[in-house]
Amino acid sequence: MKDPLHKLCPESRRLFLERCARTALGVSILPWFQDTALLGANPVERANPGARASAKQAQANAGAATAAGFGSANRIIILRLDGGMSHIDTFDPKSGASKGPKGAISTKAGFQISEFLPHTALVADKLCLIRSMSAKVGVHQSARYLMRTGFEPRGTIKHPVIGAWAQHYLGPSHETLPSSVSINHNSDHGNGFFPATYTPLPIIDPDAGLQHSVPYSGMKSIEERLQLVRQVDASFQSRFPDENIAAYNDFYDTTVRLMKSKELRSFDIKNEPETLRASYGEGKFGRGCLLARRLVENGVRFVEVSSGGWDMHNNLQESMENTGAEFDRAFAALVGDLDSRGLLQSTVVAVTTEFGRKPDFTGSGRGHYPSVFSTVLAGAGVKRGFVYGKSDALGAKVEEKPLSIGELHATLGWAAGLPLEKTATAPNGRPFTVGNQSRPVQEIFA
Amino acid sequence: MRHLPPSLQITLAGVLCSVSLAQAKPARKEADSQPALEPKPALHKTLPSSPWHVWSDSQKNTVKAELLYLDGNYVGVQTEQGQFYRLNLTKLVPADREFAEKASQLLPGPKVPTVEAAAKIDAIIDAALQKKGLQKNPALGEDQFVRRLYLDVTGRIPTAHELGTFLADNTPNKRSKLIDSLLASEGCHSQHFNWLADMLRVKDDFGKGVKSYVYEEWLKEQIAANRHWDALVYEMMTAEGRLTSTGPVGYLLRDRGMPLDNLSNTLTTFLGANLSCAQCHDHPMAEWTQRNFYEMAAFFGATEQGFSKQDVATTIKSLGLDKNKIPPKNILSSLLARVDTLPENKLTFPKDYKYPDANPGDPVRPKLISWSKADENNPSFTNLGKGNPTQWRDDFAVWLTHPDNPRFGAAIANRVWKRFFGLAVQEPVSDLDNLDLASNPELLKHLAAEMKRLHFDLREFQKVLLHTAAYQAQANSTPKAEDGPYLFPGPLLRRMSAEQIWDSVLTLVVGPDLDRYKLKRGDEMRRIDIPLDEAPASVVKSKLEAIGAKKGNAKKAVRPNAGKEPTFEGGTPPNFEGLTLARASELPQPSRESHFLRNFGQSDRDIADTNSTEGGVPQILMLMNGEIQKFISSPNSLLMKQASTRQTPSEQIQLLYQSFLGRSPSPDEQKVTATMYQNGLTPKDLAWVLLNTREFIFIQ
Repeated sequence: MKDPLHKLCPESRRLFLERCARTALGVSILPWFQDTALLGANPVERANPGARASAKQAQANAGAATAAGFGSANRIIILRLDGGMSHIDTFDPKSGASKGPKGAISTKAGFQISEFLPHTALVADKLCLIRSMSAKVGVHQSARYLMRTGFEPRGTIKHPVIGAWAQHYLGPSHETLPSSVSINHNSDHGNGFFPATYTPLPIIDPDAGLQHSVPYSGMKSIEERLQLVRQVDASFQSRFPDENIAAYNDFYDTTVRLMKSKELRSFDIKNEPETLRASYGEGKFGRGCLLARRLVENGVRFVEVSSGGWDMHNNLQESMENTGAEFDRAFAALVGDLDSRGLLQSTVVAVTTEFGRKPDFTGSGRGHYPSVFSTVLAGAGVKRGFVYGKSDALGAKVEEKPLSIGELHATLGWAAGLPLEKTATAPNGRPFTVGNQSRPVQEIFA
Repeated sequence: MRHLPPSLQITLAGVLCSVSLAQAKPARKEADSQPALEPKPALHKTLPSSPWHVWSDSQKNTVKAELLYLDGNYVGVQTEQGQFYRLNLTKLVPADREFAEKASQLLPGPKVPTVEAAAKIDAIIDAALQKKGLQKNPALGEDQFVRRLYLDVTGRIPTAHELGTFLADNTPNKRSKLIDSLLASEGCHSQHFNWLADMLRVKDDFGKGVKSYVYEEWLKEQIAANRHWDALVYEMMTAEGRLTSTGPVGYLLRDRGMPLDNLSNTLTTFLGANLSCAQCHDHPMAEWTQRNFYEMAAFFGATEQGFSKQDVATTIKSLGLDKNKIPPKNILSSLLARVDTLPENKLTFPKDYKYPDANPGDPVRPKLISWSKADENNPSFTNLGKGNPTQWRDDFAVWLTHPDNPRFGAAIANRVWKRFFGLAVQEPVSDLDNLDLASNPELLKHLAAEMKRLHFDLREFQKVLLHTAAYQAQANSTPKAEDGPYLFPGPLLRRMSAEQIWDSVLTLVVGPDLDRYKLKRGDEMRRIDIPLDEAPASVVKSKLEAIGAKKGNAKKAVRPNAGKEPTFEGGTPPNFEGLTLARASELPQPSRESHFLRNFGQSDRDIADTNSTEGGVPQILMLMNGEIQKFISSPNSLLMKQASTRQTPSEQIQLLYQSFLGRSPSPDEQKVTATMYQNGLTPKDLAWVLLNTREFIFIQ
């Protein structure tokens, strides 16, 4: 018969879930949160110093040849351009047959980017372009899933986003705030096979902030009502000393704490100065980027912000002048803002998209093109003003240093200090690693 | 493409069709000495005349066979050679229909009274408990029993009125009566659908604008008719035709373009055969090999399930559609979403196949997996996958749903058990490869035998479980790992499912009237149904062009949310600030991610069995400050209306406690609450308080 040991028996599966269920919204009930002696200057690090140190140690023990960049990112911001960003009309401009509606501008970093991105050009010296991304999937949904998780979609399992991996290995990033947040889109099962509580908290409207955080006003104060809740619940709870009930009790305590805490203000971008808000732009993406900065500044580890409208089969010029301009402004503002606050050195910002767009410009737009496309990284230990990899003269294929999406994930995981060699076992018993066993690109780290 | 005989197609009226007589497949391909089914109490022992009856359908197909059983919609018969057929009662000639109904009355049947069947289960549980020096929990109090039963069976809490009616009943068999009446209620169908939807990953949207409404409604019809599990699964596996007209094809089309993933789910869901690793490589520790997986997949090697971009483009081209009258792509995709049987097996070993027993690209021959040597003598494993590839899928379905399949009965019995006891006899339910790992192997074996005895009638099976003393005992807290296997002295304490919480809150706000509102969206798909490959091309062309010519309207027709409100039968459900106050089963499947249901753990329906009962801060924010507070306390809410008719604070307090918690307040609680009332506590505040108790969201 089959060996029973390889499978998670009901007990260990339950323990797995139970352990995970103790954290939600980045909240743990572990006692060391109470230990203020551990609180450092950096809210992310102070929340879980032990985990990071031990992960670092593990990686060192594993004999990694060089640990450049490992653990350099305490925070991760993923900017997701949904629809497929044209590499040629953004970060990999071409002058030949595949040239788009606009030309290129030179930057102080020595490389050129498209004229569509004038604001980004001003912060080029802080960016690392990857012009040799390559994949095989040219269908939106599958390609988006692959870029988001590092795995191809399967009908039998869901894979986690980096934020969920980080929560798994490093623990929650803050005692009150969530560890992961998704802005402008649903969280789409971002927890993968990890517990539902690792799902990024979705913020559908960055202007509205955290849902349901305005207290319901009754005749009696919330304290009085909660007091009565405890009285009514007393006999039930004494009959069932149950861990799931205990978990709910903790969630209530945390929620009440959050509602009263100053951290709730992290979700409210109205607290930002008018001039700064203006620099990010008035659109949903700009607002989302500003909210992302507030959140990582206050202790959220992982934030995804998405921008729609990049599927430019037609009217590419007009779309780039709208969607593209909104991105340009917000991205440049985000990088500049993080840098001026001293946060960029410990935050990695990644511009991702599902694929590139065809070198043949129809005069109106371009089709899907996964063979070569671009990604941009900024911050943490990543080299500044650097270009990794190269596409050919047409932007039709990779000429130097192809980079797979798995490798990109391994690189982000490496920056976040995650143990890439370590496997996590899904509840169905199957093993997985960050980046699907790919190697990180060490060359991009300073 | 194979043309479908009309007899196989489900009618618009939703007539439940099993296999037509013409298409009925023997459970075993060749006659041999062993009967296909366990020997049944045969008709000829009770009827004076010959047991062999010649059955005829309206198409003049005939078969000479003996009646084994009648189950509402289909007749189980067996020929002299031991071949087993399911006949669709509605397709039989009237005389045979009458015969089946009369004769079935005379069958002695393997019927064991429900209470005896329940007692047998209790005896097995007691034996296991006694070995550990344990015993069953004391019986559950009456009010707690009512609340648990309503939640488990109908998916919602009882109203104060329903509670009062039960408590006032003095007849000795009142628990049994309540079980029977709830199992026959609309609410029971709704809750059963929620349970199946999580298991089968039921989703409105199959991609490219293709909606699965006809499939969803077909499933609901099967549930309402209590279609037996084996017949239901058999039909999902073997159905052919268009998703716009044939509900059961939805099961295979759910994973269009990913037949291997679909099979992997089929094996884990219906058999607990954990071959998902073997889809890509030999299972590292278990015995399943990648070859095993591919050989199982070969049963679907001649099945085409799905549609691709080419299909749309090819269709437009081959029909020569007028460029200005091409229907929207989502409509074309919907029409092309279909299951067909091809003449040849197209499955080959994958490009990266790395084992020496075959080369990448070699065609794969079908072969059944087995769990033990003994399985090979099992009557379900005979001469399958040997004939023409067009027969293979049917062979698989016959084996899968065969009463003697080594796992089919155990898998569903284990799942139904989990629904009522909070934990399966063997966990996880998706892996039953080694049945010795069950917490009580004898119990699981017995439940599987019961499932077979009851011909996979889930309603009867549930009735038996609900009558056990184990189910009607007090609940336990979540067991600790160190305490060893849980032996079921009672059910486990559970948090309500997302659907149970939502439907319960709606019961407070809308009342039991809730069950009137039935979502009906299938007609939107049927309206655009055109038999592409059956009607002459010119007819198809003109029909498609007619749709294409009024693109704008047609688009709306398949995207209900893009233009008009979804259609309900039984009236329009109340709406509160944009939220439709209808049962979870009558809302989009699944609900949008920001909806209450998803917040509380409704599955996204991408992965099987992922409904979650884990907590989280967003849930608490919703319970304390969210819109459900608003609609409970709105003046239009049934609860607030009822409260306002109660004369004294004490009566109001009583009503609210009964409504939320299914019990009256204790004298202490009454006193504390009344004191707060004097100090300004309102019924709204008390509703807030009761909703936010753990006692409300947990089922004890």
